[in-house]
Amino acid sequence: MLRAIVTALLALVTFGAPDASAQAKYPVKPVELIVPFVAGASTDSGARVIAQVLEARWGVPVKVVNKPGGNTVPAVTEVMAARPDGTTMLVDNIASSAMLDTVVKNLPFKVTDRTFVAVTAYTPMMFIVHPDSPFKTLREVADALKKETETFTWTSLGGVGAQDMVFRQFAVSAGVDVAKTRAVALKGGAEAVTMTAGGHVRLGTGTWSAIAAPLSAGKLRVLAVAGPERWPRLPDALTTKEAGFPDVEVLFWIGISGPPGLPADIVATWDAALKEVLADKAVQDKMLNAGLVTSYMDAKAMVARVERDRKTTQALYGH
Amino acid sequence: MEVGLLSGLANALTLANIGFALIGCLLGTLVGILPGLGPASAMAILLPVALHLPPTGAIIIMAGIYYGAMYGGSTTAILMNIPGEVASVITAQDGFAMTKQGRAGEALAIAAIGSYLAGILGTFAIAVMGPRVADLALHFGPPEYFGLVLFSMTALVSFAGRSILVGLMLGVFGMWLASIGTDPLTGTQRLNFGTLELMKGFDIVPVLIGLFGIAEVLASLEQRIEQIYAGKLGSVLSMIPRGAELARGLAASARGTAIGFVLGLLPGMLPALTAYLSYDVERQISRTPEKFGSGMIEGVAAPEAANNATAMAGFIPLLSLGIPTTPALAILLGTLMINGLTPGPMLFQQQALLVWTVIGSMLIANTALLILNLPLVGLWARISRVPYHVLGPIVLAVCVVGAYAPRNTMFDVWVAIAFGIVGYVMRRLEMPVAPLVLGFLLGPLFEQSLRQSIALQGTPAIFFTRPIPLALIASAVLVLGVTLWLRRRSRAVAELIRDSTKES
Repeated sequence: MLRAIVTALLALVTFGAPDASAQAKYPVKPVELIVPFVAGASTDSGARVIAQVLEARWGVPVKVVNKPGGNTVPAVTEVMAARPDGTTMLVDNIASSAMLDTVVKNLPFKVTDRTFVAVTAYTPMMFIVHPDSPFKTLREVADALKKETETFTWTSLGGVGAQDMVFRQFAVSAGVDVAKTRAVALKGGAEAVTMTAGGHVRLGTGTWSAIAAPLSAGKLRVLAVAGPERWPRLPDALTTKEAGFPDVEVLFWIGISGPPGLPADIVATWDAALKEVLADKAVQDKMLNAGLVTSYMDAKAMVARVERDRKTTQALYGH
Repeated sequence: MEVGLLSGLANALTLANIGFALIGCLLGTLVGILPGLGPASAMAILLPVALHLPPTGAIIIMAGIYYGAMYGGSTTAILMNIPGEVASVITAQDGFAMTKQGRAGEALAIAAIGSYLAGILGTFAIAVMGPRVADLALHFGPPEYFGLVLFSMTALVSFAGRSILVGLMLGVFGMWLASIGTDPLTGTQRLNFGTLELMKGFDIVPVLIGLFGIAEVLASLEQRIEQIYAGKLGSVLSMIPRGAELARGLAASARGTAIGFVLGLLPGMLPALTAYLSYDVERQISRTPEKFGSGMIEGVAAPEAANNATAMAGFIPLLSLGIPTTPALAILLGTLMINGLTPGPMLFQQQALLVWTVIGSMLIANTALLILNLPLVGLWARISRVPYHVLGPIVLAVCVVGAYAPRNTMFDVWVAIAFGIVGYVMRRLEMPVAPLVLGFLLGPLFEQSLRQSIALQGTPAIFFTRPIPLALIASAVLVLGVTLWLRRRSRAVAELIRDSTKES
């Protein structure tokens, strides 16, 4: 109740009169964006930046609702069961789509059945170490991983998520069986960074949103960025390709999906809106502050991306 | 030019910044009073607005909501035995007992005063120590946490009530409940019996609302209670504790502040946990431990000061290292980042005025909260005289909405109702609820730190080769031994007294 009042008030206070585009037949009802993670993380912050501009553009409330837990399965299931009228949409990402059916058995739905709409942004995984770590390059880490496989500790999220995916790629490149390494399973990405900054593990992985603060405090070093190009805020950090590991590249992307059978005109409305919104410099800056590089992909490209990431995941996890 | 607390305070006293602090406090108090709607969800709802405000204003409002909720959470706990925040669970124990004796005003007043003391002392501690103690958050690895959790678990014994065995079993039951759902470390499904809803596990809020709020209504119905307190209430002034009562309350607040602040520097030590621990300390050092639960002012003052101090302490690792110690602070971190501010020592240098303004605003906001809360004490206290056939349905409605709010699912409403019945049955059997809740809170931390520690070294030897875990485990054993001995002795003394009265 209070939530509804607050949202309504905020809509009034912050956005005033709706603009002309509200006369289109979609959207007329409030839109719920379901985020399968807790509030405050990258995916959530990015979703809120987009929700805010869409709300101003469409003149209807665009609410971000967090339904964390259960490996994203409960949140995805809810969207899968929702009416395909565009009022319930999913803030999709690599973990809730491409990786999901490899990681979780007996899913109550088929991963590819949902209606993919668009990719909005990505953030690359980064390899981090404690500032006093003997490792200066990713190559040195690979050598140590090979020599001391059984005692090599690293930050895992228990098999799920881009953190594990990027380490598995790294282990394959180094010629090491990941099952023999000492994975320290953690609750989430933030904890993985804290553990590395505390010097409790030898190698950590994380995204910019979790790394930025401890890095500025001198509690971390970034060894490499597992993305196609250098990170805008870290011009001196090598990419994995530059560091000699071209096969190690994991992008944690986020995007929008809807229930199965979402009508094409609704998909088109979203596509057009996102394309325009993401081209806005102010939006790009806010996304970058949240640790995300805006990167628009339409529905077709998104489906291809999901398929590609699914195959990579299946190969890495031995299926 | 050195920017410090004074210039920050001066900047915080601009009309706009005072306004932001007041809005934050008001929203926070409201959120605190409503069970289910916690500071984290309120801050998340406000996040889009915060993007429009100047960064200082945004952070002042968010911070105000956070500690405002710590003030407000005690109100319903004291008046109706529904903790408005998880952090106020233990406050209900003595607070509600005081309400039943017509001392609601005193309980509310000492909760506000204790919170204020913690807020002010906490702010000065942040100003004096600042980034220097932030490293503590990093030095605590899994083995250190395991030691801390083990030490905290000794409190189970003293919360156990009459039978230690029943108390421990309830604690284990709480841990078991917390383990249902997705394993947070590996994502494996546990004990969900193939249902989708159980995959997310039990949320603490509906469980608490059931055990306390709904169970309370059921029990009151059965006892045909017409009012929570049937006697007369005095004037507002007479409700403010004074003299020896005030002194005891203030001393307990100071101890609660110290415990809450130190533990609050560590990630994962939620305000609810430190409130529990400080309550336990009060009882351990009290000359009349048996009176706890029947309206001891220390039992309200200490946990309320501790949860507020924990909330304040969390700002140190957040601002200096970007480490959020609670979910609410994670959202504040998100707000900072979207505004282009990366926490860290650089923030203190480059944005010194902003940081000190936020710290200065804490003094203002805490004072505002005291001024808001004290005059309302009289008004709130009257709730205890509202006829129960009016109050009961309102309480039930608040419970249902509160159970639904955190995760937006109807399932949680059924969970609350089921735990309402569990709580009612436990009352009838005179079983204590506190160990169950403590088990629920400590369970995940216990499990994760144990598994992670062993993953780090491969053997449990890690607990005995590091100094901090070893010291904590040794203290746990010591405290356990002393507590058990004291219990046995006090029982022996009680029997002696009873025998002697029989003789005379």
